[in-house]
Amino acid sequence: MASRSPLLAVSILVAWLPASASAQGDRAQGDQDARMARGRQVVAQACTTCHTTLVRMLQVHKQTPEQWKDTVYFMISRGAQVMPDEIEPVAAFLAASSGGGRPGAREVGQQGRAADGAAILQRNCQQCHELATASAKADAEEWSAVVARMMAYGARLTPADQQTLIGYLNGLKK
Amino acid sequence: MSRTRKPSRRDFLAATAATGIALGIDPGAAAAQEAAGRQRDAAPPGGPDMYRGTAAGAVVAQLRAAGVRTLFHTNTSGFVPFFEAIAAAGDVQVINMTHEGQAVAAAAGYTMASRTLGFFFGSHVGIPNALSNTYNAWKDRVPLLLAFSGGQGEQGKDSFESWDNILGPTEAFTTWRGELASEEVTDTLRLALKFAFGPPSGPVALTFGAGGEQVQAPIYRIDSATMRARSRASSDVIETTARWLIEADDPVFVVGSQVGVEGAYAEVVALAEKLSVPVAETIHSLYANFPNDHPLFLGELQSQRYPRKQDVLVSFGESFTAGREDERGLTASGPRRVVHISHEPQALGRSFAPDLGILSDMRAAIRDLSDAVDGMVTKDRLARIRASRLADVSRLTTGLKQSREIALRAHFDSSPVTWERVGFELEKVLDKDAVIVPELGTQYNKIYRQLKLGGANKQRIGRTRGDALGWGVAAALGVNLALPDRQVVALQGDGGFLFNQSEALWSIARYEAPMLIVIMNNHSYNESRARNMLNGGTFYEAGRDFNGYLGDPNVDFTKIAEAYGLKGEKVVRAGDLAPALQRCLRSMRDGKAVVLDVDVEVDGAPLRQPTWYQRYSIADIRRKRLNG
Repeated sequence: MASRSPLLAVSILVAWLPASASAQGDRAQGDQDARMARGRQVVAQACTTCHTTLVRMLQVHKQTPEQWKDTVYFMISRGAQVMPDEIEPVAAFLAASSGGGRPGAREVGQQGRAADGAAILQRNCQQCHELATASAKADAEEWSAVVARMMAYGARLTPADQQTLIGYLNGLKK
Repeated sequence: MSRTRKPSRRDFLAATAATGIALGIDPGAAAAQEAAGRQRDAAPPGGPDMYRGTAAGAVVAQLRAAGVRTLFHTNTSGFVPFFEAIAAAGDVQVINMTHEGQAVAAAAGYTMASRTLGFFFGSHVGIPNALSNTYNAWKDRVPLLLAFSGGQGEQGKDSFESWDNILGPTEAFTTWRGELASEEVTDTLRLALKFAFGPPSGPVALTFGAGGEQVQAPIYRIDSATMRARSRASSDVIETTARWLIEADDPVFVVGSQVGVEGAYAEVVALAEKLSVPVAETIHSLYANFPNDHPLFLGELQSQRYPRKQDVLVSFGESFTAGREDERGLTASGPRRVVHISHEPQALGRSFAPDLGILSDMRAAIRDLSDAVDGMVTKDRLARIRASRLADVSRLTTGLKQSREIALRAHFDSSPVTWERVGFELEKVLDKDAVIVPELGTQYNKIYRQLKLGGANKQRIGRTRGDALGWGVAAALGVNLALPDRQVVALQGDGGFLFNQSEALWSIARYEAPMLIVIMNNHSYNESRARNMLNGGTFYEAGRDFNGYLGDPNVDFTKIAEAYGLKGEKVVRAGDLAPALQRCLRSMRDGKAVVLDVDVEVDGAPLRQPTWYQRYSIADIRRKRLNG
């Protein structure tokens, strides 16, 4: 920079600014999405081994991001296998997935009636389970057993939602 | 046990006669002992030693021949002949306790630490009191003899201090029940020992009818170290397991309490290191069966994340009795080969169906497996297998250690004190070979993982697998009796302490057990409250519950300690913990136990009204003015 004139430097900066802000915004959104995806993946691997009712827990526990971070610390001390660089993504994912904007426990069944299978899956299952995992399963009979097991673990679905979800899962491409 | 080994009758006679006189026993009793000794000398060669004297004396002689020198007791009448024989023996110590349940816990702790036999004697009306810790001992497979005075009353008559089938209440929690009467008294005792050591090992309940009757009884030489029936696997199943381990991409070991029972710590570490197999434990591991600072140690099976797809799991002496937690651990990584090795045949295939169930002692199985591996692969191949696995596991365990350090530091100076901080400070000041006896809820790992446990480091005994509260302090006393040269630390929740445990402080004070009792005081039944609130519900939404709050009254545990003549220390602020621990250590060094009452954080979802409870005042509902 020392060899360039001040005028040239200012010109380049002005020309670059709008595009840079937009790119930064995209990158920030991309980073945020990547962080959430990573948080979700770690939660699925490290939390649901013990917390089989995680879906319900996220529905009912309305905590601030700082409280969720403390919860992650608690759980690490209690044996959760979360690596140092995963702490932030996990806390962010839990904060974004829980309480606040999410439907309360009592509302879930109501909303589920109108929802299609994909929406039910996204809302109730994908905090913990990858869609790729779902695609690998076999037939409707097996999905009935899986959904029944998840109900036993704490998933809250109306009978109609259960049938809609089973039908949707059975129709997934293998 | 051997019926043919020659006992040293001459030494036994000399010691008995000498101690009888030295203890000031009346001349008649001493003469009777001497006479009994002469009669023992007349026993035929080749068989068991013959005892002649009182039936109660035969019990003492048989217990001594089995190496038992410490007896736990709660007050009752009916044991005078037994006490006379104890006094005559001169080398048997009676530990008086003030509650049957606490006495059984102390006997269990003593047995778990010494790997010998625990013996309790007390009143049959104390059987109900003894039951909860008998249940714990049964869950922990602790060999105990529990002898209750008073025989079977007349059936069906609801007679004084009696009920039908007097030992009936113990049936679910004992491996055998019998009548220790004057006839065949030592045969019955030998049989009781056989059932106590098993396998499966566990408590045996006896009615103690042996008194001052003259008997002639064989005395069996019994070595508690070899009393449990041994087993060793056939070579084909060992070789199959070895081959699976060699061929596996991602094997995992689970180490269970049988490793601790046999003391096979070094062997299991050596085998894990030979193949660089990561090692997990279960939620109820009972002992620190593997060093928790070892780079291969993963923590609990149910929370394992590595390797994601295990292909072989080998369990060394874990019974998988924790229910859903164990089930989740076993199924977490999907289908795989499971090898279950146990020295207890009843444990095999009980909680799940293994691909290979192997009945064997741990030490024998580990050594056989190690030899089989050596015979199947070259050293070069072994080194390659080891190197590739070790890098992956070490990366994970190193990362997890860093995460724990971050979690520790996140609220390091907070008050109430974090559990991690308590563990951190204990690790700084305790001896490397200290023994931890915990009775904590599932927050235990917050402390455990700050302590170096297992292997050559600190030993852990408990929490009992039974989980019936009211075990820890008395069990720690038993551990201290067995291991007087070690620092013994009871880690106790405040809720658990209030389950009849202050009674144990009486014995701790009387026998000058220089222990540390840390009360993790969060003024609540935090474990059950957090579980009840986990999935929301009416009480979570209300932010309060009926049973979680333990304050009002806030128990001052230091005052309880002082009431028993012990030292009490109270810590409220994190910064005060380290100096308080230093004072505790000085007191322990000087021979006096300390109760350290630490205000610790609560865990779980925050509640709006955590101190709410259903208030009720008998004083307020009185309609009649009382005198005074």
